[in-house]
Amino acid sequence: MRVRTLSAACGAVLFLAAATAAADEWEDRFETADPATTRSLASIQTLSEEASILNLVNGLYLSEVQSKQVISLAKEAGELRDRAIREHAETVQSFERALVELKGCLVSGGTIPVELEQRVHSREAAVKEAKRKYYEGLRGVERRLCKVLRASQLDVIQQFNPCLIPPQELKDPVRVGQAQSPTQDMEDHLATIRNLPDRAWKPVAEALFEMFLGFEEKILGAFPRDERRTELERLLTLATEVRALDEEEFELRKGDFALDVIRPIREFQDKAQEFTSIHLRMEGGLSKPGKFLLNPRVVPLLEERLKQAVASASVDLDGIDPAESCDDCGRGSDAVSTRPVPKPGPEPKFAHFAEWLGLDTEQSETAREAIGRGQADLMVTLAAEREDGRNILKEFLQKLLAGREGPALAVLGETMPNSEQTYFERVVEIKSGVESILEECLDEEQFEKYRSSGIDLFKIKVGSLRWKD
Amino acid sequence: MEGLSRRAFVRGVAGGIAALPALNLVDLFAQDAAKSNFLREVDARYYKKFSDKRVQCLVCPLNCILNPDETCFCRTRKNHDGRLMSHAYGNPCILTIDPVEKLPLAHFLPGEQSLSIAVGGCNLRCLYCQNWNESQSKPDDLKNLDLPTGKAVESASKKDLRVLAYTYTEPVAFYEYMRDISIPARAKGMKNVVATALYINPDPLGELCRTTDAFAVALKGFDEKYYEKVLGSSLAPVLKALEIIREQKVWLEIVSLIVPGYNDDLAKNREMIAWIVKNLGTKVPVHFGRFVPSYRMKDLVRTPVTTLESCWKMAQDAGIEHAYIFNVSPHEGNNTRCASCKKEVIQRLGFKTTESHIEKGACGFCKAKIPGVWEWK
Repeated sequence: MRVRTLSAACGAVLFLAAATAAADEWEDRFETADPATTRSLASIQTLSEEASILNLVNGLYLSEVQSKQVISLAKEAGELRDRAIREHAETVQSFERALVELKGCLVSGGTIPVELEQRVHSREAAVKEAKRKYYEGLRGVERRLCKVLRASQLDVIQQFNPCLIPPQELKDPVRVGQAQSPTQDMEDHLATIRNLPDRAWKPVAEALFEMFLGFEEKILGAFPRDERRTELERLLTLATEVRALDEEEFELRKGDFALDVIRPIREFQDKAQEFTSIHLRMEGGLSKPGKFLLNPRVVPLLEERLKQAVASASVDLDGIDPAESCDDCGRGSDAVSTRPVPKPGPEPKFAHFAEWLGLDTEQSETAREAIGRGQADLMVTLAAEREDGRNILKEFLQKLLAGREGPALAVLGETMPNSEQTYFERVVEIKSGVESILEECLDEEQFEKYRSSGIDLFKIKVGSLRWKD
Repeated sequence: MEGLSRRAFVRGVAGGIAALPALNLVDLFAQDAAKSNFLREVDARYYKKFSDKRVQCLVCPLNCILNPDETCFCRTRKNHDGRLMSHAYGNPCILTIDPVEKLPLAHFLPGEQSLSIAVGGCNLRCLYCQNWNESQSKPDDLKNLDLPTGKAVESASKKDLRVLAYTYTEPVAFYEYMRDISIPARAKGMKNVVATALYINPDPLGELCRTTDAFAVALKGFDEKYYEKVLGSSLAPVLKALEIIREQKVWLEIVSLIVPGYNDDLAKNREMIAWIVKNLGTKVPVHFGRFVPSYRMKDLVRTPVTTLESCWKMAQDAGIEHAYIFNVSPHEGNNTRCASCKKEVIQRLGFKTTESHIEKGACGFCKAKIPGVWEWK
């Protein structure tokens, strides 16, 4: 795994460098073909760079003083660039002239004169030397930039990778007093595996982990076969351990287990950062703080940011839909709420779904149980053992992950073992069964509200309890 | 199912399976349904009985008067035929291990991990609650763990956790459970910390102060109308309760979430800071936090960092020795500065301490005492 992770990280960095170079080539080629598209491509590059810088700047929370200092240093870096270009204009132009001559020789197919060869080499060396001096000066500016930034901000920059959409931890970091964990999704996966029956959990877990490995392969590249099997075994061993925990232990340790599942991806990210730093050092240029914040594009972005007034208009509290308050001098009420509840989103918690429908305690119990059993039945059915060894759930998820909805559908069209029913028919049956129970325990209005909502019963998060046969 | 094409239906099913985070967990205890949320009913500790089987809860200033079968505003206690019983006991809906900094507490045993416990219910109705699924539900309606008080202490002990935190929902709503854990926890040398809106009556608070080592109190605004309209509560009792904590000399930190357009008025915040300085002193740390859209306030923007910085600077100018900014990281406002020599004695990234220069509760540079709880005693 380590070798694969390392080479994947290397590959990613080199690919990025090559892709950047290739992008310039594309723009040149489009110049004559379609000037408007050429301009769009250039604009895309600029906008992407600016989006990336803004994502980073948003995550750094630069103070006003820091912003001004960064602007000043970025301008200084810009002046250094201009000065270097002016001072070495003749060096660069004479290298260009030498290359033009060289091209002429190569086009005619003739021998390159020794003198020309020497001239090209010496001009190239002179340009490299000019570049080296220029970067030396820039690195001085970068050192001063690093003093302006706090250690914690430098940490954020080191971990940052250029992006159009900021990563979760920059966009929505874990907050004071917030119950939800950053590894919530993976914890939910583990809870799903935990709560299936002994007789049926392994094929479902395999299918879920196969899907996760597919996702991992999109980031790290394809697994060699033996490595894939080893990784799957590791995850299944982890799942066995998770299943053996009692409820309380699981609640306390689920975050750690979730991190353990995604460990290869985290290792890759660490290595990729390391390689990016090495690569940047090898180039002789700037490291990340300078690369991002001494970029000439920073100046207008930060200046615009400083100009913006951000005070919010005051809200008239008499005009809002107020919070509930206790009526009648402290008289309690059994009602959960008298306010209309917002419609649940696509993957709601059961508590929200129940509150929105106005279910009482008994209805909630029945509905939760029915939905939960339906969800489990669905997975157990699809992952049930077959004589031919196929795992239909696994195949279905793999095709879905690959964007092949048709073939995924086709898998569900296959006949179930020892039955004349297809998987699809069984899935429909399971869903109908759940809806019948709901229809019985909900009143007409509640059931109609659910039916017209478009809420998918299989997407409701019902809670955590162990299966008992 | 009528009118639904096969493809569309299966897409929905596929979406359900593919969105595997959504395929959560299974409640199959059909025959034990009533017990599946580990309902335990215990006598409420503070209430009054009337001769006609009505009861009046006395835990919080709402002082709910209940007929038989009625439930308090906090949703956790019910009149059972003339006895007020709490349903929030031994059945936490949240159990995690967190750094104490998450409460937030910046001057209390930095770096220490706590066993964090929350039970469903709350005696406020904050429109922006980020844990509303739990706080705005009855404990009976949530999926809970079975954690009697002794087991809570044992769990913490087994994990080498020396701090128990009552947080996420509203500990006043599970008062008896919190109290009954905090006593044996104290006896074992552990510490108890409480994150609360402090809408609580003086007597229960006084008792709680005896076993609590630190409070992170959400002083959510400084305006009665704001408390009424946005929180479904009242400010005056909270201010009174803060004074009680000060009198009891329990470590206190104030937490104020700034909601743009609602409680970000600088004049009002200046008033709040002046009240803190006058009534609680300048050594109480004050945290100003960034609001993030949630629950019934999803349409607002996040608090601009400049607004937080204004409040933060205003607090320092008014003499508050230690003011902070939270939910914004990295930021200078996350760090602890010595009030005497102004050097940074603790640097943080998020909830993590990255560097500390506190030695025996004093600044490592100039040796001035830094208020707080820095060592185990």
